[in-house]
Amino acid sequence: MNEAAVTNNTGVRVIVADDSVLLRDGVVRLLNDSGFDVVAAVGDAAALLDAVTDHQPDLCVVDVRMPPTHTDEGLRAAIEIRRRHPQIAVLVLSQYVEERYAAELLDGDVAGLGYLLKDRVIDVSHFLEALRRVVAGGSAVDAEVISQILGRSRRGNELDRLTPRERQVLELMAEGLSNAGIAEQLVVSGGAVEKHISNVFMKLDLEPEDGAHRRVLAVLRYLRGA
Amino acid sequence: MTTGTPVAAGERETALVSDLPPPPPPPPGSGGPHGAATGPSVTPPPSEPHFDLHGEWSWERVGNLAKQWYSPLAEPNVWLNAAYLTASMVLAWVFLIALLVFGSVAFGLLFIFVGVFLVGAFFATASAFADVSVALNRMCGRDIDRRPVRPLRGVGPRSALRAVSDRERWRVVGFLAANTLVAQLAFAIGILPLSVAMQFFFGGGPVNWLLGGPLVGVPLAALLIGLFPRVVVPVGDMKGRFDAWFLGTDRLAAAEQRVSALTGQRDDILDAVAAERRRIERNLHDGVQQQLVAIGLDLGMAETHVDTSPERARELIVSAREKVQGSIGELRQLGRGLHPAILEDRGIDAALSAVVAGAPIPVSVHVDADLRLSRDVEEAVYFLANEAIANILKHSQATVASVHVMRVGRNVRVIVHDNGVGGASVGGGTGVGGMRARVRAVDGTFTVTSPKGGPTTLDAEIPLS
Repeated sequence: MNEAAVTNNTGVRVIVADDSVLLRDGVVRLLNDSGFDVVAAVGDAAALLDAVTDHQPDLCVVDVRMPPTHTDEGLRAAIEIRRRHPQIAVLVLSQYVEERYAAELLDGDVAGLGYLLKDRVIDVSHFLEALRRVVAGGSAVDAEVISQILGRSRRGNELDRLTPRERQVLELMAEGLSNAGIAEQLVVSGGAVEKHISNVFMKLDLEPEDGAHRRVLAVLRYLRGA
Repeated sequence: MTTGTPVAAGERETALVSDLPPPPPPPPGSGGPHGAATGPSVTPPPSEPHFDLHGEWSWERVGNLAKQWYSPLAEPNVWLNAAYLTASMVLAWVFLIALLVFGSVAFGLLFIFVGVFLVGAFFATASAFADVSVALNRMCGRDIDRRPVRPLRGVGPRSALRAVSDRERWRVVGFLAANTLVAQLAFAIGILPLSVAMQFFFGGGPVNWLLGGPLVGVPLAALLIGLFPRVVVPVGDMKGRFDAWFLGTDRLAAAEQRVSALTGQRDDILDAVAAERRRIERNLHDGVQQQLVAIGLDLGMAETHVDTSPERARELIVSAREKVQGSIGELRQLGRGLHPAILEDRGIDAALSAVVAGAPIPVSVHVDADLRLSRDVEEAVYFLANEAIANILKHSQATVASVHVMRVGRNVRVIVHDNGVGGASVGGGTGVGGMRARVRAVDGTFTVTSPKGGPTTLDAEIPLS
């Protein structure tokens, strides 16, 4: 966390929706500390939709399980928000990763959309990074989701053609990281990342895409075998 | 025990015999207990008076024979059966007439709608006669377990229609009708020796005339009087069996009913188990896991602040530590809900006292001091009370509550009372359904009385074994 990051977040208006008061307060405190402007903190999906209409925020951080049934209210609300206000970025937090949820959420355009395991908030800097990415129109897909999708992918044979490093790059691309982000994560140069990426696209017969989120879409579609 | 082969293994026999009522004592003078004999034991027939008409005749012998012949007359059972046969016959006509009157009026007036109110009286007449018959049989020592008939609620066309379409009700009506004939017959046969004897004594009858006057008639009548008890008791028994066939429970049907009840219970238990697992999962995910994440978040933020503002980092660490304490408390509570160690170590009284000790409102616990419970029953009582108290604290807004655990006959009764807002019901999603399933799983009964506005009383009775 540095001064630059704080100024970056200034003016980003956020709504937090989580029925666990403890965690909601923690996330609100984190966001306020990091310069975000938390305009509302709510405990259920109906209140979330109302708050979105009232405040027109830039970002919603939404827990999947909320009252009354504690199943997927948050997810439904997130999809609804995306439908009504495509310009609002949404980050969905889940107790556990469920690929079916992910598929539902990430079905359309993944721009400005995130789906992370709830415990990712503990890694404060990465969590904030994911938030910023989503607000900027990128995407953030949990590594766990990606590995589940990979595990179930029918493209196993083609994926075997990738080197371990290329596979890592593919996973990070699917998570929504930019070239710079991938470089930082793998501690390699930007040039090296670009080389890996073009290798991946070549080996998998994919059209190179501009922009991180379109790339995510392409990779996810490929992995699902569509 | 109807094994055809001789039971060789003595242990096995005693093991089985222990479930049966003790065998009747051997008749006096039959040579002591026969258990010592090898091979299958032959029980001598019951000591019927044995008439040996051969041999020397003396007045003493005649006296003895007469005593043997007439002694059954002193048994109350003989006269009870005679009374039973008489009453059954006479009352059959009384009730049949009442039935026909109600029946013709009720069904005759059905089309102008008045009759619907008399349909109940029609069936009630038959049912009353059935009650009388059962009581008469009980008087003679024959217990008939009445077949259950669903009670009618309300008066009106719908309840009348339910009554008319109920096979069990028509069975009782059928009993009354068939009984009129059968009781007449049974009475005639059962009392026959006595009535013929009366004809001899008081003369004038064609039988007397045929047999050539009182010289033959009077001794014959005297003999017939001795025959009477030997006829009336078996006839009474047979008539009793007829009553039982109509009115008594069908064992197969009872077994089927039990099976369907058990099937329902099993489903309830499975539902309760599933609900329990969901509750545990939710407690873990929404409780402890969230707390751990929140703790992690505090620590993560503290980490970012530790260089720039140590004071802020310190606050966050303190907050994290406090949350750890909360999590430990929650885990302890969760564990207690899964398996209460204190129940095993200290018994139900101590376990329930521990449950209420943490309650924010006064909850009194009264457990009968000498109460001994089997493990299953104890757990059922504990979880019932535990769940009930949790419900009270969560939903009832009560300011005071009480738990009573007492022995009532062969059951243990649990009463949980609170002065809260009421409105608890089995389908209300407040855990009442789960409690009922738990109680039913150990063959208990469960009622909840909880009007809107309160108070609420849960009342459960569980068989001790």
